[in-house]
Amino acid sequence: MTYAQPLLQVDKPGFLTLFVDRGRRHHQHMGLTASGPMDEYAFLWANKLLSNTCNSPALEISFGLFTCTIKNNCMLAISGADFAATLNGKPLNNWQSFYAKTGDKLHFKGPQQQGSRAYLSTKGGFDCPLTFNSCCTVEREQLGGQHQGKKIATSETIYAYPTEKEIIRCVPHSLIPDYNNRNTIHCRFIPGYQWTAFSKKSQQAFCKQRYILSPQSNRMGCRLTGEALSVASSGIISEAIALGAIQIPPDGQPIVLMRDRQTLGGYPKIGCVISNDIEKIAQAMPGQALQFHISDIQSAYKERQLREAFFTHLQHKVL
Amino acid sequence: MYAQLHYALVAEDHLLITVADKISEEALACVQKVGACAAAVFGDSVIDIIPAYTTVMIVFDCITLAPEKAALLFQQHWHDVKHGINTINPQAKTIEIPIYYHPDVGWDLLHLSEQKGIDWQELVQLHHEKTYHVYAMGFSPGFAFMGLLPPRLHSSRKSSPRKHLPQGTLAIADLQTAIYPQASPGGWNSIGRTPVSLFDVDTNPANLLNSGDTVQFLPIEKEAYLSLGGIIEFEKA
Repeated sequence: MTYAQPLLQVDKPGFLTLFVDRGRRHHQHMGLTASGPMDEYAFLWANKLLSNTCNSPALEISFGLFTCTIKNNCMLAISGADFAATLNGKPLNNWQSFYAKTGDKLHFKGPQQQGSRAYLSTKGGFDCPLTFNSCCTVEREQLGGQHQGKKIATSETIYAYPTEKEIIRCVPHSLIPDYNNRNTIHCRFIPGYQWTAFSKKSQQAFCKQRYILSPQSNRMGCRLTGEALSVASSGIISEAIALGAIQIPPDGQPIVLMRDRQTLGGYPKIGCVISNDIEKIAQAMPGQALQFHISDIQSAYKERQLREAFFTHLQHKVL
Repeated sequence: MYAQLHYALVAEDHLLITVADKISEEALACVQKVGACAAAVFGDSVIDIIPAYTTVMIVFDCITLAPEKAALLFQQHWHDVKHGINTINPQAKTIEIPIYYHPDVGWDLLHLSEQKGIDWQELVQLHHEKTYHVYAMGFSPGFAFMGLLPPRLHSSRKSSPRKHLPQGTLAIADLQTAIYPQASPGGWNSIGRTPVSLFDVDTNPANLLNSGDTVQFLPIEKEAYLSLGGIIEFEKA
């Protein structure tokens, strides 16, 4: 019988590094957030590059500055935000797998204006205990990860099965998103059933203006600032909240609910960001501009189907 | 109550069913039925069923169930459930929770007593002589929104939330009552504390309460509270 071995020793954890998988299903009725990777597309690629099953535990590194020492030979892959990663000082290509040997130093710099969250995976996935069937760490709920709700800390050991060297794979250029944080994010949304509760003027203002992403954004929600929308009611009866729901609290400034959103909320919702556009907001930097565009369920559904087919149904096929 | 359920596809994998536009015991009963019906109808396609006061959110796997089919499928079965062709019994239970009601652990009892001109002992009696229903779970793991409070106990939230309420704090706000399963910041008025755990990662099920359950609070003396593992924690000035 073989056991998972120490694979990484964390030298610097960076601002926020967490274990993630596709999230906690079947527990929102108990008040547990669904969680999951902020940028699911990049997360799925990190696993696909190593032929892992799509739900394998990986690390989500927010805003970079993560460094670690390799404790056992292994195949690794990085995707998502570009933090100018290096292995023993030599630049690594992002969106690519690579082989690392015992004693090697893996180093991520800070944000390079190309996204805010990177993913690091290993062949077979990291070995992290599951809490309610997921490794996702939720600090607010004090659960998940290796130490129930604690983000990855200095000197923490991360375990996995050591692996042999194998062929290097990279994501085709055409499939790599451009996270350029100098550009305006164009984000599609589905007008909600409460859309009509907003005045024509508010609806127009919502779609026309450029919002700015507030620094008060996190895994729970991304706050936007712009011209305040007038809100007909200050609250509705609390109800469950979908990923991407756009809440308009009494101050008229939208909040897009993200992966670690609370399960229930009572603010009116003007709509819901389509699931394949969530990652654009996830990779934004504070101060970046964002504009909403009307879309519909059918477009969201079609894109989602393609993505699921590509990453989950074909997950054992070699690229 | 609405004569017909309202359906809204919020996203390609989220169906929201609304049963009423006001909170009531009748709406709660209907929400429970809708939740149980959704579990039966959608089976393995269900990712989450999240009941709240007047709504049920169904999160489903849109690869095995197309979004445009979800509401239709539900409607067909709901017709049978509503007309008693299929009986669905939501698994609600009645739970007794011991509470030490005392100003030592109920940090707002004296303040509420003064505000309302009622002895704190009488406030306590008003609170525990009624049974409550769990209307929704949320805010934090295991947090149950219970109601409805008798009118004399209705009270607004604190103007500024406390940074720390101990685990097990029983509190009231507006028409509702709840127990904080974990130590947490909170804006509700603290009236007592339970030594019982409402959420424990290591037990199965982890949560004591579920939406639809009936709750009876049992007042206990200090000795019983301490012997059940209760802790007296005074408010830090």
